Amino acid sequence: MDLTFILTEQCNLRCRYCYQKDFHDTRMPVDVAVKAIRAAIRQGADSLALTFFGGEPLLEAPALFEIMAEARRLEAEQRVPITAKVPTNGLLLDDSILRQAAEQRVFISLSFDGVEPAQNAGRLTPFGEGSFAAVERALKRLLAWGHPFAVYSVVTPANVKHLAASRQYLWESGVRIIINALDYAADWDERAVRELQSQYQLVGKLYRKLLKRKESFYLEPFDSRIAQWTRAGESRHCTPGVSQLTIAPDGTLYGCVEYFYRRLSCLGHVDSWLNRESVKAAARDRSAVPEECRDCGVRERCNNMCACINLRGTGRVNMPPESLCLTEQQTLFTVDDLAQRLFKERVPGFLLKNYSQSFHMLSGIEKLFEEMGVTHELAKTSTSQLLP
Amino acid sequence: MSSLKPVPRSYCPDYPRFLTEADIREILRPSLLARFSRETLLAGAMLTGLTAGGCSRGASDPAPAAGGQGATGGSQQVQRTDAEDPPLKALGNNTTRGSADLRQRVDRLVGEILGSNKRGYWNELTSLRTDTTLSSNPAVKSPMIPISFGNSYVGVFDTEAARDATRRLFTAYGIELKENVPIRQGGYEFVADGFDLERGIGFELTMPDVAQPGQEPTAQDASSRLDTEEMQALDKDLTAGKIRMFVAQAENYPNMDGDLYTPMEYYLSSVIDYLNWVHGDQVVDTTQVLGLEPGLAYAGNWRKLHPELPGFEGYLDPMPTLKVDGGQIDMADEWAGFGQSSVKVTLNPQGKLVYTPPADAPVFLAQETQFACHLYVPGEAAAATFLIEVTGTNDKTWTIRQEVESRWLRPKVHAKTGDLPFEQLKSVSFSVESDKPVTFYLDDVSLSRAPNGAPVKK
Repeated sequence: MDLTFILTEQCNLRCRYCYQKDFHDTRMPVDVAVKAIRAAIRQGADSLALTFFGGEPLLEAPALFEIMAEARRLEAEQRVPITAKVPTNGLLLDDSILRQAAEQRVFISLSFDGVEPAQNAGRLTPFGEGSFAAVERALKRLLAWGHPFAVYSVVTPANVKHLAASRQYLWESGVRIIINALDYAADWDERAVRELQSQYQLVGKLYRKLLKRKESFYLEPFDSRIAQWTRAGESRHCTPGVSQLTIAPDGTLYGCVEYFYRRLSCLGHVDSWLNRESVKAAARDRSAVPEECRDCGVRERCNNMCACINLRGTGRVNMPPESLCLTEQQTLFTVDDLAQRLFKERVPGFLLKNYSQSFHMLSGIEKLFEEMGVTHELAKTSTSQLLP
Repeated sequence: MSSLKPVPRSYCPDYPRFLTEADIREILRPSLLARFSRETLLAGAMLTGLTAGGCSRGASDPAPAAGGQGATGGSQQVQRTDAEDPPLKALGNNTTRGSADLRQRVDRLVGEILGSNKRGYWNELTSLRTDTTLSSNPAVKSPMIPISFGNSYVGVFDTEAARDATRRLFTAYGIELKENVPIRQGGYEFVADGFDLERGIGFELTMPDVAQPGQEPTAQDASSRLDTEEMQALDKDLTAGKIRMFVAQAENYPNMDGDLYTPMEYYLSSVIDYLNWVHGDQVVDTTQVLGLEPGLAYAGNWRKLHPELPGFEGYLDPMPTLKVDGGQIDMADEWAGFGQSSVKVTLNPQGKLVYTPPADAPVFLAQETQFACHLYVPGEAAAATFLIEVTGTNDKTWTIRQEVESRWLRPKVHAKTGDLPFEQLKSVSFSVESDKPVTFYLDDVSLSRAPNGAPVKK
């Protein structure tokens, strides 16, 4: 089960595309999170994936590590494996936090959009200044840290023209897990979508080059979107209230973060746990697929059922925004074009990533090592063993 | 009206969702084999549900024939084809028990192969299974890793690494193996992964047949497998001392969620057992893996805190302490909590399983007591509610109602009381709330002192 804790609604940045629009002065008491973990275990969760969210979660770093200490204790006592990650803008990363993150096996995902113009187009300080220099310092700190971490970038119409340059910059900096998400709530006009397509083609060249060099990496959207086709059976759809929950600072339970930000469809409270009727009602709300999507050839690979995106884009959980439809199609077409070529070229890395289940960890290797909590060096070693 | 514009339903990416037999044949062409071993690709493709059944080494790779040159390419042929060949010479007494120096070398090698990555996650929940198909060899140990809660095997362990490790272990015992040596005898034919021609000893890690879920498996070619008849024929020759061959089946070493450590640990243990055995140490402990009880790190700590009730400890037989009223009870080795076996119980409605401590091992309990056990209800979507009555010699009872929703109870404390109404245990009874017979497995039952006067679990 995935538990997302809103540690605070405060943030030290004001990103233009942030989910969150109101920055309330809320903090999650440690015992709220611990209650949630205990309740999830009591309810039979066989493993837990904790995400510390915000706001900027590291504003509440002491609470985070206190929660983690208890989580690790429960993990040992109850034999329920627990993974943990914290997405952060990086401004507060220091040696103490990194040391504790390593000790408590908390995976760090740095929110960083790439080159300076990309980063500064969206991720701003409360004073409207760019945050590139500060976050680049955080990146260097993470690289020196020696543990696996990810960089998570948001692609918007405002920064899409820097997408390929940003990927190149991140790769050359030493980042090996590069994840991106599109800002579906933005206005993706035809020109922006065309730009997205051409940038993806450039990123595709990097992807192909890295595969041919037998590098170990995870680069979205290629790795994830190709696997949606070749490993369709392994994909997992989110089911708010069943496989995932967001816990508000006051202990209220929501299906996902967007529900929380909108204070929509409360599913229960950590004290009493889930209200089954509310969960059922939320599931009913989400279940209807839009008529236009029913016969769509890429429906199974599309994010059209993400309640979070839909709520942001259209205010309705089961109605995707047009921007999602356009960008998803372009993404999939571009990815499939490249994948087709990689298959025809019989690029070994491509074949292993996509057609060999024994080597499944190759495509998701970073995720695997994230879950195992091993160091980056080990990850490298194992990858080289897998790729002769 | 929404502005969403669906992609035509006929859209299909121009690269395969899974590989066909033709794809695999084509992929196994020599140029690619230069980069990957066949085993690597095939091990990867098998069991995936992604391959369309027919991937086979034989597709591009004819089985070796006597005197011929199989594409697996051993340049040396083993031609002990003459059934009149004299029995092989003894190998001497070079065993880890007899030689501290060898013990040290083998330990170091095992440490190198397994790495410093501690024990694999699944190791702690794994029990030991033995394969005695070749009755003339010591039992081959492999891990029984439970599949539950959506975890699954993702192929088998790293067979290339296992083969390499085996060769290194043989070398440690002074046996230098040639790779891929075709063996052809009356009744069996395969390509040994390693063989010492002079001493007539080698090993073979057989590859499993390839299958797509719901389809009949497609057999591997003769070079990588030994069918039942071939195994029987090989067994005969092993008994007669005509050949020495360690054989393990790769499919017994599953890769559970990427834990490559656990299967490799069991595999290495079997190779070392074999090498000791073939060098004269005929005592093979089939309860231990590399000198440790399976899952010892966890099991040991668990047992320290939660000692089992008399009869359930270690590998003892709990049957004399158990009686069933309205049902059946037996020992079973198809599932175990820690170790190799458990008690398999079938209770009819109103049936009851009763544990009574042996007369010479009275059980005294504190007021703050916790109950724990391993319990498994087999079958898809199985669920059952258990009533466990812990009764004292004063006939007062502590009742625990425990639902088993997800089929398998982890080894954890299932109930605590801070107010146990007796000091000495008379019995523990298990019944199931069901109007149908229910079968379950029970292991590692413990009643131990709860820390800090734990409150009653609601």
